[in-house]
Amino acid sequence: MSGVDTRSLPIGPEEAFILSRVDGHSNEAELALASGIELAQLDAVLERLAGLGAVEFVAPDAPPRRPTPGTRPASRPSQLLAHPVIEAATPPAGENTHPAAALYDPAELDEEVELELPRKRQILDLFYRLDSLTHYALLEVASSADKKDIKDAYFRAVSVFHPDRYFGKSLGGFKPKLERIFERFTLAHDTLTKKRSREEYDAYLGLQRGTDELSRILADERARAAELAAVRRQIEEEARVSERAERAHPESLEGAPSEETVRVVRALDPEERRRALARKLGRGLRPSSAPPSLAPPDGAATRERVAEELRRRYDERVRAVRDQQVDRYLKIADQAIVEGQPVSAANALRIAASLAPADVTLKEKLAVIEERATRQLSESYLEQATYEEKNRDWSSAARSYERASTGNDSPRLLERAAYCLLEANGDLRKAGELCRQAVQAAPELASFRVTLARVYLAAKMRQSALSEFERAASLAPDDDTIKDWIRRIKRDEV
Amino acid sequence: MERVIGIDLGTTNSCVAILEGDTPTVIPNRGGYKTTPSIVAVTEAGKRLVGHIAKRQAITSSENTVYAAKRLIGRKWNSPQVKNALMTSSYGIVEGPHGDVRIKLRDKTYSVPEVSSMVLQEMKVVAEDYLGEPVHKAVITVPAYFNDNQRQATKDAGTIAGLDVIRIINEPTAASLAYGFGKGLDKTVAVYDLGGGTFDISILEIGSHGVFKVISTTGDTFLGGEDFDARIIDWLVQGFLEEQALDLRQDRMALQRLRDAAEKAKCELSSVRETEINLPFIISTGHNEALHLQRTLSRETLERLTEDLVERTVDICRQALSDAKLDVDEIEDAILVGGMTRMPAVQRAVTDFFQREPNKSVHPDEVVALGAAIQGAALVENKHEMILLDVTPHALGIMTFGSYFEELIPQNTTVPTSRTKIFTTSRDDQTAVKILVMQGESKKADENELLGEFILTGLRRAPKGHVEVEVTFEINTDGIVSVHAKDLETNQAQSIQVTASSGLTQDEIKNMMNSAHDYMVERRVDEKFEAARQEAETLIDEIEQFFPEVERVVGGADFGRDAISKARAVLDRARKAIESRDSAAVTEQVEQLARTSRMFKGVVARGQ
Repeated sequence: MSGVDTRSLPIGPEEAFILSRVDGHSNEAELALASGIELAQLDAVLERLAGLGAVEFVAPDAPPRRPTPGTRPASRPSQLLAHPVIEAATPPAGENTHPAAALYDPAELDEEVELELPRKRQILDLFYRLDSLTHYALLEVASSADKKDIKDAYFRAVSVFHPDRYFGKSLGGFKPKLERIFERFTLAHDTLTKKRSREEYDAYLGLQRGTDELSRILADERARAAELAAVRRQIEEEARVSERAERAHPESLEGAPSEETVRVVRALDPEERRRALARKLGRGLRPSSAPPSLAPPDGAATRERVAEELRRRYDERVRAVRDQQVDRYLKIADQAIVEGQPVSAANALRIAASLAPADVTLKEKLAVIEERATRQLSESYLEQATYEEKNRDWSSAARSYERASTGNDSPRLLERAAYCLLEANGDLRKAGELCRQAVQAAPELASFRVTLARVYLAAKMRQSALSEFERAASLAPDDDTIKDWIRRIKRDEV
Repeated sequence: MERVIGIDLGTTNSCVAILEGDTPTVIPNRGGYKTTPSIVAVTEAGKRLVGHIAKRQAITSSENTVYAAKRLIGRKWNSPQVKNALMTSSYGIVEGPHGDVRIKLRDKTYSVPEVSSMVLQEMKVVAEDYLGEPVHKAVITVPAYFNDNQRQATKDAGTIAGLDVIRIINEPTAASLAYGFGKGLDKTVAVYDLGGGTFDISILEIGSHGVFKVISTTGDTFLGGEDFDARIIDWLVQGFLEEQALDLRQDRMALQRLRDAAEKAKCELSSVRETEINLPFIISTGHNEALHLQRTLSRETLERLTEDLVERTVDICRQALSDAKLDVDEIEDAILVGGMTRMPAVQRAVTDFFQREPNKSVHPDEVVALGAAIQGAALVENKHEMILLDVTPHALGIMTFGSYFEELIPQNTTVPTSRTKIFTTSRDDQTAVKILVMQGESKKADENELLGEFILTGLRRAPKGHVEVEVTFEINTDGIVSVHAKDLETNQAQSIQVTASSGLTQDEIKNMMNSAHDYMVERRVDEKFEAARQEAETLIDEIEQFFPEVERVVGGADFGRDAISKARAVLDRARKAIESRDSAAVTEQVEQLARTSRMFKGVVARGQ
């Protein structure tokens, strides 16, 4: 499937956009999050893309595909995730290799201008990624780069993207794009070559990375499951080792581990797990393998008793090792709490709670810490959203507000998210949904209703807008602005 | 590939250059000089004089001689700079139809761009004569601190002169191009440019890939050599007044002589410590008696007279460094540009301020034109690795309620660039906003330069502050400013391309261009006629000299007499053609004359 020319696919911007978000290891839920598109809709699009051979679904327990080197951020979790999607079209180097290739309508490349095709592609690839690249990524320098590296990178970029390089050539729509690209490079250069502004920018990036990482930890059930599985394996391994030390029947367990590994991943319930293991051990037992002290002369009943005793002892060992592990995770959690990292604490506690599902105190503690973690995350997102809103980065601000709202009941965050979406000319359906929630939570606030009404208006839902404005007017009878809106809608002026 | 010339249109002198291969070269004028005085005059006969010839006749015809027109270009009639010029200039300055400035020469008034176009046209001719082909494209330099109206007026001057001005660049930036072009430098430099009328200081970074990035630029468009001269003139006038109780300023011719003498003395004092100013018969007492002016000016006195001017340039340097957020020790070279930097006191001040010997490797009078030529070639030829990143010398913004200036694009922003800001209405039920696009650094709008205006209408009626208008400023690579205004609620939008105004309408520019073109055609015809006339006259003289000898050799024969009378007829026709100033006829007769001359030479040779 490699060699599929993404650009030649009969797809629309939505499909192209989703395709651009497919990175080979995100599952649908994550893609929905990344693209802001509803899950059901996303599924439909993915089906269509799969039909075209642009993507393929990978079973949860299939081995992970090797990603194309360099196309994937190193910080991504490397373990296999359930139901991930792999981008099939691993393009060859050179031609349309760019991850941004799917971000724009390929017809843009056909514009008649005096530029070579590779140059056009280079310009479009960069232009459509400008908003998603950090200054460092844009300049292709490390975040530790010194002033000279940054300047060199900037000068290099300038020598390619400055419109004067193409003076006198007809550039059509490419000229304003070149200017935008140049402007962005200059912003990156100016920000990173001044000490103060670089510090501020680094702090913002840190915040962003932090929230990304934290929300990943918090949301990443699979990573936790994997860790849990590893711990359980370890527990069983240790228990078995001590058992084997006692008994002389190592062969009874032979060949199991690899099978085991696969099953552990699937079977998450420790009790079931234990039963399964016991069954297995029972089947594997032979009379002669019983330790002398426990071996009655003969008969099935005796064998049964021996097996029972073995199971009991094994369970004890498992429990002991497990308790040790639970303890270890509790310590990690406590340490994290002390360090003010409730997200890490919550993560450790969740693993501990999964290992000891019966422990009620642990569960309670987890609930408390989890709440604290979400709150912390929410606060970080709020801080980020404020920075983004201030810098008129509306779509980022909308996303951050929305994320902040998950750990904070204040309907204002929902309203802000809706407002920023409106400003960003973003998904109005989503903006409406968020704002409706905000209005539901604070029905007495006229300002929320005004935002909602404006969302309706932007979505050309005049009747809904009007009734929302009217509701707002009854809540704030003195507000002339609202009255004015109503008047203008009635007069068809807006 | 069409050649692009670089023109440094200076206050006192102009210079033209071209890139030959990889070598930027200054083109000398017909007199062999590398710079041409930016002086224009009109003779009694209505003949236009430009350059050295105009300068030479300035004393006898000072009211019809324009110098330093650059100080007036793109200025409004009521600006303080124009008021100031009114007091000191020897030629007539009158108000134009658009609140602009016009210059009166003989019975005609000219716009300032028109006067400048005469200088540009002269430079164009210099280049065309040198290259032997027509030139259409040019890069013209302006002081970095020029505002958009002044830049536009300079561009208009180019248009009138029949030039396609592909780019206007800043003088100090141009100088840095000439300094660093093709050298693969990697340093931060300061360009100190003290010219005839303006002072500029630019801090630049010359980096890899041939990138020249201006970090900051500032200056004073009314501080230059002319001001130094004015101090000397003041000193002379004052001294004369005390001695003779006569004000030399009242006499235009005396003033013009003082001006020349002051400039000469100033230049001399760059190399000698003392100079004599000697102006016999400077003025008449009114009792049939003439007075002489004779004074000795020492370098010390000159330095004392102009100390504050030099100090002002240093203050501006300090400003440029602080704008660039650099310390003085981060400047790796200080480049001197402009004739005034020959003055020892200026060099001392630069050395003291930058704590290093200034770089004198570039020619202060030629380097700007060379840089303009480099930029021109880099743009059209596209083979030289060179990109110039310049900045906005002035902040751009709009006027807000209470006549305040709200900045959108700050000074020293690298172009191309764009910025957006949100404004609200200032009155209840305001349905329209007037967007006044301004340029300058003052918080008070009326102290800044108005570039253009437009109105955004159809705003929602609402209490003041309730309607939001988003204003976006954009400057593209060619320096063109566009402004967009948008009502954020209704998405109603308006935008304009701000065409800075030179004070001339498009029609006026077109008419001026046509008459400049006609003038040029006429001038070229005149030149052709002159050349033909000279050739014809030389031949006529030659033939005349041969007559006695020819008559002696073949005069006896019929064919000889016939030939002689034919030759006489040729001479008559040639003389008539010259008399009628008919260029084509003269050219035709030159051929006949040449044939006759050859024939006579043959006859004479055979006869011996």
